[in-house]
Amino acid sequence: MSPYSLNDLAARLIAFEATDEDFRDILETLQVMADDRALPEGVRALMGDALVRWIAAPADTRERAAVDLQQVVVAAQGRLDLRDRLTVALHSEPAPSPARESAAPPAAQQSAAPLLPPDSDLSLLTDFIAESRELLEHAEAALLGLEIDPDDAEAVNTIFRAFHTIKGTSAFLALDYLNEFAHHAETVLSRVRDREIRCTGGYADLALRSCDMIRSLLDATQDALEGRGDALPDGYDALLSVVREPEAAGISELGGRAPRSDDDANETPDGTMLLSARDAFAASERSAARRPGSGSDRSADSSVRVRTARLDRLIEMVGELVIAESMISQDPILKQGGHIELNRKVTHAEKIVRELQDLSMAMRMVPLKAPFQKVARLVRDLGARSGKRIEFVAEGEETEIDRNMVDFLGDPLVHMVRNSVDHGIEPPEERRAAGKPETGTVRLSAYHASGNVVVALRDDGRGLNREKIVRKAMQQGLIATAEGMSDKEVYELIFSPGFSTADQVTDVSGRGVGMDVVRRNIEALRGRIEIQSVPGQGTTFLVRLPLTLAITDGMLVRVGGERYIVPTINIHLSFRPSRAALSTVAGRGEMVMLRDEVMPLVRLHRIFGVDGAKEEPTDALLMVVGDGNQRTALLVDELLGQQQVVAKTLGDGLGRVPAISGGAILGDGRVGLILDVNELLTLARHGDVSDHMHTPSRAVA
Amino acid sequence: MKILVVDDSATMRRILVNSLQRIGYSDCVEAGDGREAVDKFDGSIQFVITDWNMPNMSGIDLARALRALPEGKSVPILMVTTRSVKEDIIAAVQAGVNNYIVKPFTPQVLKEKIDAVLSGVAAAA
Amino acid sequence: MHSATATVSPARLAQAGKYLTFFLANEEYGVEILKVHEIIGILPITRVPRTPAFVRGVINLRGKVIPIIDLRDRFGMSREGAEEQVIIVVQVHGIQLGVVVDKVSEVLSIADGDIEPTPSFGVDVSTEYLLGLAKGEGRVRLLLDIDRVLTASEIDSVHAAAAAEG
Repeated sequence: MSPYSLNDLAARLIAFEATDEDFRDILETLQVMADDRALPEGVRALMGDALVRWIAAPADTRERAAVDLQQVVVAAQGRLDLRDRLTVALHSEPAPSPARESAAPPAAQQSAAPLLPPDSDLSLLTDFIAESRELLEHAEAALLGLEIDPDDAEAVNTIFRAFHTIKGTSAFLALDYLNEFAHHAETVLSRVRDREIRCTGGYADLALRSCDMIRSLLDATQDALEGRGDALPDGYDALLSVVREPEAAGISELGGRAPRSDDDANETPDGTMLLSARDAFAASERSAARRPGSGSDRSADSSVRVRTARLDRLIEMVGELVIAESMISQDPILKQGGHIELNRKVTHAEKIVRELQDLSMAMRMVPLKAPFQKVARLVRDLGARSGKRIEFVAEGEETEIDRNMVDFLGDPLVHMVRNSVDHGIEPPEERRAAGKPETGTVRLSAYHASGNVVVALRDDGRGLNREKIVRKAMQQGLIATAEGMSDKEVYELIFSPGFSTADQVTDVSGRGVGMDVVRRNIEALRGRIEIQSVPGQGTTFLVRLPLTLAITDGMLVRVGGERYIVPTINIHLSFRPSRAALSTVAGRGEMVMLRDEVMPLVRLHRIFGVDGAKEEPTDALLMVVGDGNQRTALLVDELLGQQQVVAKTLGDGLGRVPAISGGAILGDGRVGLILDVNELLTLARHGDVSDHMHTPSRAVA
Repeated sequence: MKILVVDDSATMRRILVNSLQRIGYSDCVEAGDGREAVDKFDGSIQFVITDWNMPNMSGIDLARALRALPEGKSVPILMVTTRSVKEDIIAAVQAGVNNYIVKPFTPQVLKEKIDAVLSGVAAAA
Repeated sequence: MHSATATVSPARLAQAGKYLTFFLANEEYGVEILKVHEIIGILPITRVPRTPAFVRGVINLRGKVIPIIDLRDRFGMSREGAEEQVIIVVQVHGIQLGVVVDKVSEVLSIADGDIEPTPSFGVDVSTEYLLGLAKGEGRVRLLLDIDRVLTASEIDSVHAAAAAEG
């Protein structure tokens, strides 16, 4: 039951003294009540309205707001009384969540409550089922991503959103079983999202089983819809009780198995994830195959050779067309209104142009097969030379990427693989001693996630050696001490320029090329690289790349009178800080706290010398950018909206401008500058914000 | 009144549009994400109903983006969510959202919310 | 360049031919017509951070992004009273650049006999940027060595100096 009631609220209001603490108490009470499904919808709505007004109340009018709120409490009490009198009206209220009602699973009601409510809107249900299946496919693909990178916030959000949307919509359709199951699955994922638990081991397994169960429920609903029975899927109650209280069922980050409805003969305790992950992969490939121009349906088509220069020119021209078109559609004359017919024609043209853009991009997309095969050969050769036994597994080599990027991906991949084979995979005898199979595995996988391509290289070797990295980093003066550094922060050090250990120069990896080169290459492709490692279990390099360099997904931000484009791939989130979250640390400058993370605050307008920008962070906006231990909050005035832009160089005349990767023509015809976030953060770290005017960059020609 | 309905779920959009029709609002424009919403937003839109959790651009980001447009400064925005978490609602209100509604709801409750938002906007004007 | 001192190559001499003339403040300048790509009206300029002051920014020239140079800043002249109505797009070493000027005057044929060497004093612009003077119709025009103006030799020499030290 809810910890708060109308009586609590009334009591708090009487005692209200307009202090911040009292204000927060009431805020919390209102919030809990607005979300309390045990309350009638009308009362919840009243509380929700009151909550919005309460938040918006300025500090000096809180007394007044409290008086208003008392009126609301009276009205809400009236509604509650009414409900008690008119018990008949109860069925018009949404059923309280079964989870709140009692701990008993609704097994007893199974025969009583039909799967499908009697007055269902059939076409709506059909749409819902199709859409939910698609969401599940995305969720499963993201689960594979989590297997490689359990901290991938975007993947977690994708899975969360699938459960969340299914839950929200099924509530409208009165699909109670589905609603309840999705509700609990969402709750588990929200704990992952809030970093309370990690989606690994038993939780990952549970999430996959939850996808399976929701799919079975959708199938059953479809069956009921087509008159083929009205039965709950096998194992619903068992899995529901697990998803409701995972820990009570023995689920942990290490393991614990969710019950399955069918037996799998090949299953081994640690083989489950792998198997499911492969299934998930197949699912993501299926969804990829539906897109025009993607790998699977190519063999059936006839093809024609086109010179790449011509293709590049075509794509460039289409990019121009998109911009020219958007300049027309944003013309003030059209915006004035009144030109309905013209507007309609412009919208039509806009649609065609967008399709043309998608199509032209698809023409230049090629599968990652070539670099993957290069890696396969390399692993075999390196293994043979070093006397290690290595199995190479490639997954998702059909994943497509701009052909202009494929060539540049080869080098970093080779370095990463060398690193894995040289330093990751142990010799057979060492593996045997560690209780591992003598044959090590290097797994290269690729998949699409949130409009990006993710390439992951994973080995099951010895993992990174924290002590060794710390020692080398201190020798090279990269750090003074490793005290207080997390493992992740230590691992990131291997990407530092000049970090190459003597051990790294082996016969096999040759000249001891540093991982900093890999990072630079990836960043040149406007991508990000992360590293994860568990001692004794292996290391994973996770590379996230945009689909293409020709078009950048960007967020247009305003800083004073200037506008900049920040590539979406660099933005984790944006928020407006509270005053309490801001602090200044001696010698480290301004810091901001987001949840439990403290990160430096960088004022973009200072680095770029922009006048008239907002100085007060609580009035402006912070964008969290950067990777790993370099996450930084960037101060901007406001976000103007997300858009795709065609990236261009600033012209050879300017040479390389620090922290700017290029320019793009914006909708109003002006040039917007695209930020190079990594360089920007480097600039910010070096603290040279004063000499922005006369930096001796290679200036003209 | 012309209403812009933003949700990444086509089913949810249908539900919203159906509900709106039942309470007398038949002039709806749909958008599947925040980006499309910004594209479709023009001076003729008089009310925006948006989902909270959407890929690419959240409802909160959308509210912010709309508020940055000259035509979007004062358009009423109603946010649809499944849970009223305090931080989310504070963020939403700060981003310029006028009110929110918790799923599931009946057309009648939707009507009450819209009326409340409209009277609030009128009062503020 | 390996030397720390800026090595100035022997000045090129002005040649007879067609020149586009334009005004900066009260002075009339000429630039070889072959270097001029086109003349456009002033367009909104996007400032580019962390570039020298004489780089005004970049513009969108029919979908292409090109840098814009402020000649007054380049020559250390005050920007006061600048009318800035025109951008002359020039091509230097295959690179397009825009130059902001007050207004374009005319296209002038200059004969060998009209050209005089640059005096070492008496003009606002550092002599290293000039090819010579052209006299005619009672006016004096300063003929610019636009390549040199836009090649930023002193900045290159900063780099060269740094390289020589390091």
